[in-house]
Amino acid sequence: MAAAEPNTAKSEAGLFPPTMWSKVRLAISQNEPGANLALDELCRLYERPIMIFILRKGYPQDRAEDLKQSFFEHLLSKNFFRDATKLNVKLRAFLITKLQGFLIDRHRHEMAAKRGGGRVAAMADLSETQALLAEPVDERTPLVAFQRQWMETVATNAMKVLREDYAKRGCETLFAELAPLISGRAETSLAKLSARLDRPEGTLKSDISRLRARCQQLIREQVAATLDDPTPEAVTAELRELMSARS
Amino acid sequence: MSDSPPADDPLFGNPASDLIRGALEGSPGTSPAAPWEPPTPEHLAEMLPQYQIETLIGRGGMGAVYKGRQSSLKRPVAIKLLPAELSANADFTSRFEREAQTLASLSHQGIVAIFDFGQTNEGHLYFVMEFVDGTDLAHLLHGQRLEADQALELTMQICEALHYAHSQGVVHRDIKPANVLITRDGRAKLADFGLARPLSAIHTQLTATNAVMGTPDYMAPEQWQGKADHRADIYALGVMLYEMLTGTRPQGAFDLPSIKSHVDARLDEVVIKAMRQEPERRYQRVSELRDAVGSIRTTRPPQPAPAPRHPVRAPKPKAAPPKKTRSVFEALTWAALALLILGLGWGASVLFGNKDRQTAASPPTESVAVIEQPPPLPTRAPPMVKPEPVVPKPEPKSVPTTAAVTTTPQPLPPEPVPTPLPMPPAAEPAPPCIDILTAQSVNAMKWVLAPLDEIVPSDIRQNLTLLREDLVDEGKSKPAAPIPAYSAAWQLCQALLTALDERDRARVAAGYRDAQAAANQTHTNQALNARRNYTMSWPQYAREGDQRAELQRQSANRTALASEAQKVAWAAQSAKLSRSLDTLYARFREAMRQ
Repeated sequence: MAAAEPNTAKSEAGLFPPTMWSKVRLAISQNEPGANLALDELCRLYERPIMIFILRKGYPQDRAEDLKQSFFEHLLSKNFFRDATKLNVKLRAFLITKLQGFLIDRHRHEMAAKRGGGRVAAMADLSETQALLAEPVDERTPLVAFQRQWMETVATNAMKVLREDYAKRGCETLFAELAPLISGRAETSLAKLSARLDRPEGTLKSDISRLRARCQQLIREQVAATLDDPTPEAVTAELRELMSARS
Repeated sequence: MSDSPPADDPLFGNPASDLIRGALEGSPGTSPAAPWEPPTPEHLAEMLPQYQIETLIGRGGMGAVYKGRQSSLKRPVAIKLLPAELSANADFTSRFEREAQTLASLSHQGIVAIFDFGQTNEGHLYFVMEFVDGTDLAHLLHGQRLEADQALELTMQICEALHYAHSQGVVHRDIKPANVLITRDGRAKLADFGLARPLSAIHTQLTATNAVMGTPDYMAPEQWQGKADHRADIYALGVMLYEMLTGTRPQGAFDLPSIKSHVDARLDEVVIKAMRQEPERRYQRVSELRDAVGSIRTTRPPQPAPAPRHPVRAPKPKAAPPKKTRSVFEALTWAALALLILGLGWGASVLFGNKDRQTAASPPTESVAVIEQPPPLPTRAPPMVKPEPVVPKPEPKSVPTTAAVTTTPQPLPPEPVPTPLPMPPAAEPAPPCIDILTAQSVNAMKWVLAPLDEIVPSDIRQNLTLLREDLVDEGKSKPAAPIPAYSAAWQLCQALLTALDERDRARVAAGYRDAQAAANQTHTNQALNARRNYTMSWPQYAREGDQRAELQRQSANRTALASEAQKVAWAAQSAKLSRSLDTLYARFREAMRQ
């Protein structure tokens, strides 16, 4: 096991894509080349919440997949961001608003295509299962589901970066052993771990503490990347908001 | 993610909410390998010379607890030490002091007393508290549930302590098993009271000081918004009660305790009410929760389930009645089983003026007539002491009712012979308890058949329970008395109690549906509001808004219908029940006459 440890104190340039929402917005408003791609990259980090939202809206899986793809194409093809660059909105709010508008537009479009059918409510077309999916009995309305999934995605993305972070230094095994301990829920004997990894307990403790600190830092960075004005206070506020959507 | 995740579980078993919370608060967990390294006992002893520090007994990410001894008073103490970095925050320090002072004013046997607090020369904030020799509830639980009466006893004790604290204006804010210490003689003591908890000043770095406290599962929804009053404690208490009863924390769409652990179904209502999402729908005071639990403890728990043929009730093999009476209950249980199946509604006849049915005693057609006799009554035992059955029946014995002519039930072929009981002539006039039973049962029957919206007064149940005991006592005292008469009376009593329990379950189920319907109503309103706001901004999307609102409305209707259905089902059930009680009552009268 290589003893080299990632330095958790400072953010590693290049490990985390510097596609900050605030910067992307600025770049788009100034018509900088590549700005749209940067935006696409940023938005795709949040594919999953988008997918969940569409599913919760009652679309079947394959249709939802199509819609998600079209949505992303739409984001790039249209000059969608003019208003976003004017307003101070965070990525999450921006995406969900655009997504809702997009779905409604699509729906109207399809209705128009079926002109003459005189059908009003697409909801009536939903199967029983889909209707149940759409039911808010468990409070998982599409928006809440979206927000919950967003939280999930922030954590996942941060862990992914964290893992790559360690892998680059050849500490993948260490990471795999220590990662489950981040939240403190897993019950692992430090002594056993120490024997298995051939690493003194004291060192392991500081390893874990470093891993934890880095994980927290990455989560905050992930969140910061979606805010229009990522001050520490704004990041904290956003984290709180995400937590409020938990079950 | 569409790109393959790095491992099977991209989060490596860490709940996302824990990670986010960690980022929010600075340190997510309380694992043994927390970032802060507490000083050694020797080191602490140097900092606090007035105490002999014996050992480090616990630590979390942001605090450590030592066992020590106050040299001057020679009493054992526990010292909680917070990291020195925390004292850099003047706000935190002042709040800590303020809270320590408030806590020092609390004096209750259910609350760990605070003796002293201060700051070491190296800057650690610390407080010195009563050392509790024992364990904590978290250890006790550790993935398994407690006996129901144990859980209720502890809950009562915790309620007492919290009630006192709340009356002193102190909110705990972090009720969880790890903060409930249990002394060796079984008393619960609340620790970690309101200290260093993020509450009002939540958006500053102050939150970073609280990582060790608070397990998300026990936090009331409003606590996440940074606003919580004493009702957040009630929520946490509800979670804890659930955990004590079932061994797991209520997460997601959790099972009711009675379903999960077969405990008293009345506890379902208590747990649900304590854990309501909206504080205003919970118990508003701990004392209300305490009273609810208390009344469940003092009145009889429901009897184990009736025979499996019974269509409604889930089996409850472990009803957990108070220990001292349990064996009697177990022994008598089987007698109760067949009763509901049997059927009759003398109560209905009383209610509906159908008096002649009382003497008719025609066996109900749906009767399976495998009537279980109550076990032979034990011989004389001191009054006021719950009788232990001397000859309990270990398992049910089928006794055709016609065969019950002697004082001991005979195991006979289970051939159903649902004819009236031929009884030997009564040796003496009916004892008073029989008369009382006649009056009481009229009253009880009314409640069995009352609409589900109404709550059965606890004294109805209490009276019946007492009567049932009296019947056992009196039967014992008169070995020559006509056992079948007592037996019939006892059966009636038992059937009424079971019917009341049955009703409680239906009531809880309907209440659950009602709650869902209410939640759906809220959603509908939200949808309508959203629709209004939305279409004001984008009139072209009015239709979409309408659709959502319509869907919400339908969903609300469906749930409301489910609640209605539950009540209708109960009405049907209670009609059947009424018939079966009717039959029983007829038997009882018949037995009394002979």
